[in-house]
Amino acid sequence: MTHGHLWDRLLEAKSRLEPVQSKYRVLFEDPATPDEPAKVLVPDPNWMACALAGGILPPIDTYQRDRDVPDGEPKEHPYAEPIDAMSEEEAIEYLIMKDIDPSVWRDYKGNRTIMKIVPVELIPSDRSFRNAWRVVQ
Amino acid sequence: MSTITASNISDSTTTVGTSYVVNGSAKGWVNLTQDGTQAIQDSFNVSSITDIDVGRSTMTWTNSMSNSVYAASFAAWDITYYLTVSCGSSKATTGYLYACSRAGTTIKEDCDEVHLLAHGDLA
Repeated sequence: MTHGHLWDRLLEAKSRLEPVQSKYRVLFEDPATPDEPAKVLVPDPNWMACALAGGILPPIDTYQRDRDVPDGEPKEHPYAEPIDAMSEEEAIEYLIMKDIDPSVWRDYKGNRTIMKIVPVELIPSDRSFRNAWRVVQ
Repeated sequence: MSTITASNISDSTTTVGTSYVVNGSAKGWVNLTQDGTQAIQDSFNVSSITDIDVGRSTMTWTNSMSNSVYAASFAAWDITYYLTVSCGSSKATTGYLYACSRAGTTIKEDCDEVHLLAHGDLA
């Protein structure tokens, strides 16, 4: 195995890559909790730098298989061979599949739009009514 | 990437095994703002945060932890309320849900800065 452990690659990348603040956010509602306000996923700048550089992050399907691995059992994603560089748009799609529950992006069959990828400027900076945010239909 | 392989590290008077250094290192950390448009200021081993509602967010590890009994330290402050009590709500191998509230109350509050770090075993 020449690619080492994911954590080691993240350490090396942290010392080499400049952080990249994404121009996107993911706005979504959880169908399991319809009364809760919309949630906002914020990509990590160091993670985004790794995604754009390539050769660091594992394939997304390893994370998906690891969802079913019990606590304390060996996981696949830290040891998987890293994937090539992604565009920022591809990285956001990867992050949705990694960090948002499949009930939002894969399994939802309702009529409402419950997820949108939006430019960061469209997320309100005034949080006065934060608990009333919804995804605009 | 070059690799130095060593079992011990020494300063010529004291020698410790490299496993002490690896096992004792923080496996991930993040500094983020909850006020305004939420953003991560700096981090290590974090892929994203999710703004859930006022005062509540989750963070997700890039490299998961081995089990959910890792130790997570959590602090938050806000210049308006000075002393802000914060606590974690739930912890998993993939990440952490945390909430901030004003001292002595259950009123949730977005904080100027939230800091989180974790020690434990990596997956």
